[in-house]
Amino acid sequence: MIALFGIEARHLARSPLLWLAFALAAALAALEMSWYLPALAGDDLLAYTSGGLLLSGGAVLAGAWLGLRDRVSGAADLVAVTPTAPWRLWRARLGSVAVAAAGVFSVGFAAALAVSVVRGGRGTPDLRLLADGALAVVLGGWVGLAVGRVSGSRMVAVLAAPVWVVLCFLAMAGPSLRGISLSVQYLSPVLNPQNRSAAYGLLPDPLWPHLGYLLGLTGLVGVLLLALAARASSQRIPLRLLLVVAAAGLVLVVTSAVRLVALPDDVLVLGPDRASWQPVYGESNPQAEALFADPNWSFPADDQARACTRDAGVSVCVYPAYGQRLARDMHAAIAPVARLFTGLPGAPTLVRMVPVGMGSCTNAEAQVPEAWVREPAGRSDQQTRSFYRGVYLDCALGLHPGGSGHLAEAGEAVELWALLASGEVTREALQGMGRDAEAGHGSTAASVAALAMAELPTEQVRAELAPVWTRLRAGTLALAELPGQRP
Amino acid sequence: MITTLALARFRLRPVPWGWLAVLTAGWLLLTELLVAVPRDPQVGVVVVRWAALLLGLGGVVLAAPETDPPRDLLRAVPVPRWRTLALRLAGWLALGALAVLVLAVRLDGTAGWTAADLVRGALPNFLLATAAGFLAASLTSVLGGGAAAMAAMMGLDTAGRAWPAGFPIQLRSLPGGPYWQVSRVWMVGLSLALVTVALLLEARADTRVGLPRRRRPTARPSPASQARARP
Repeated sequence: MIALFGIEARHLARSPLLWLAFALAAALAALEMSWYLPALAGDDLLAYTSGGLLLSGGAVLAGAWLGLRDRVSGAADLVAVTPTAPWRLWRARLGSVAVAAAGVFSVGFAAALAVSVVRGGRGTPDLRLLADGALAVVLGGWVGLAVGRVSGSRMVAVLAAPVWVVLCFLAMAGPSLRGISLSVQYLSPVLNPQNRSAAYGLLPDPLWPHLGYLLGLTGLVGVLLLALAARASSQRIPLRLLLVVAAAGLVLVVTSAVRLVALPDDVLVLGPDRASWQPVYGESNPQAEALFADPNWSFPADDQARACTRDAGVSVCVYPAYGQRLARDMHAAIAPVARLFTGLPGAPTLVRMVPVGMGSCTNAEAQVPEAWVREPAGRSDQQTRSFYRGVYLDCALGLHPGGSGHLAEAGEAVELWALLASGEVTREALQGMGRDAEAGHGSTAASVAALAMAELPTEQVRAELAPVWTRLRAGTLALAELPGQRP
Repeated sequence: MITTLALARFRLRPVPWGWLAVLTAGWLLLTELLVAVPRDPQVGVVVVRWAALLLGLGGVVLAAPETDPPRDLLRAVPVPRWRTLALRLAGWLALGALAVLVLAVRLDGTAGWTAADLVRGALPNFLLATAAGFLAASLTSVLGGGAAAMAAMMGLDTAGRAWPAGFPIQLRSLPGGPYWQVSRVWMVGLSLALVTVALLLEARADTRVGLPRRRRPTARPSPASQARARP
């Protein structure tokens, strides 16, 4: 029996169908990972979602091929007369599919984490994702076996894989489906969680009930296949054991499914205390939007952003999963402008990563939502640096970072001066911006005022800004009152 | 005329056309149902375009070795087998294209897409999946061809997402977008190239089996006819 299991497992491990899916999953995971900042507590989810779905599709194909093989190769009659009971043979096949499928997923998952580490990812990966993904791929393989065995059709076997993937997709799209108020997205064999924080984990966390759900489903499919194999044979199958497994599987599926559909679509983390977390049903939460738009709201101190880089002017702290490097990069972008505003009232002395929000700015602290930083897709390095600087400058100049307001002309002029004085923008570029402004983009007056301020020594500008700083932040300062402006 | 029809039937017969027709009709109904499910109509359009790729998988049965088990025997008959495959392919393309056209007309106006846009968005997808499956299945099997076609589609989609500005085939391009027209042209061109390769390979296989080339009738009478002409 062990020899048979070994033969089948080796056969499957060499299956081009499974490895084709592996290659595609690896390409997709690499692409997705390249869009995000590396973090083990994040890349594990990317490896799970991109690898899990494609590999389970490949496992359906490979399993279907195994289910068809006896019939296709003409060995069905031979197998039927061997002394080994058919259910034992199918048990070995189920085991081999399970080992090969779980093995391929584990290899992919481990490779993704290794790449993440090499790219600088830190933190703790959620190994429940590995178990969940492996179970989903095993389930795909067993479903494929059942399809091949029951249909006996090559064409049905081919179509089974995309149909499986489409069904998973449809289940994943639960909240965006018409007329469905339950969280059916968690019933998909492969989950697609939308909200993952490196500090607070999956929000909400469906993994434990989902593992039970998958385990139950896998058990039920396995029992079905063994029962089918035993039906055509006179050799007895341990019926009691099968019934126990089937009953346990059914109970697991039902109880886990009930728990899963009762979960909220999203969870809003409003503080380190779990009691403050708010469940979100549906795609948006007007309450949360109103809260985040409030300029007085800020995420409470939670001591999670512990990877810090600091100097006399400003400290930048991010979650340790993103590594010290991110803190250094953000600090390097912010520090040159922060030096110009150090000591002025309201200028941030701390830039801190938080799990939610639209960015907030209170008590000399600029908060940057994790999702804004983690997803630099489509941004060049220059744009990323500019984004980090923007978070600081908006806060320093009194603009609510997530708000829809604009800086007053004086604020815009000071922002441009800060960029010029810190060397982030050249004089020629600013003059070019002035010309653009004449063409209708931005303010010419602000560029001219910034250039005039830049004629003065930096310390003098700082000294002259200090008395008018509060009015500048309130948006009531006139452009002519800025340093270096002719009356 | 009767001989031609009989020959055409002989060439088409091993393919399960009834099954393919049921598959196509089922595809049409199911896709129309699925399009109505998402709240966002744009998602419905995405469903149509991906469903067209799925429909193209039907092309794998046309050339797969399992469809004509005695391939070597068939390759030895006087009519080259590549013509048989071409005829089958034409039949499948007509069937599939009809389903795509009907679906596009029925979904006209979904998310602002006209029927013509839907046809332009879905038909090249169907054509490309058919061509990829046709070539891969002729070299491997129904299962291998289907897997290769699906992998090719996923690979093209991934490449398009990885190089949104440089890769010529963008499966997600939108009407009026910068890559819409170019993508359509590339997809049709690639499909034709794949089909040509499949038919050329089949033609070469015919030659390797030792099929005598058909000669054009010459003006010079054969010795036999001359013999009959003698009094």
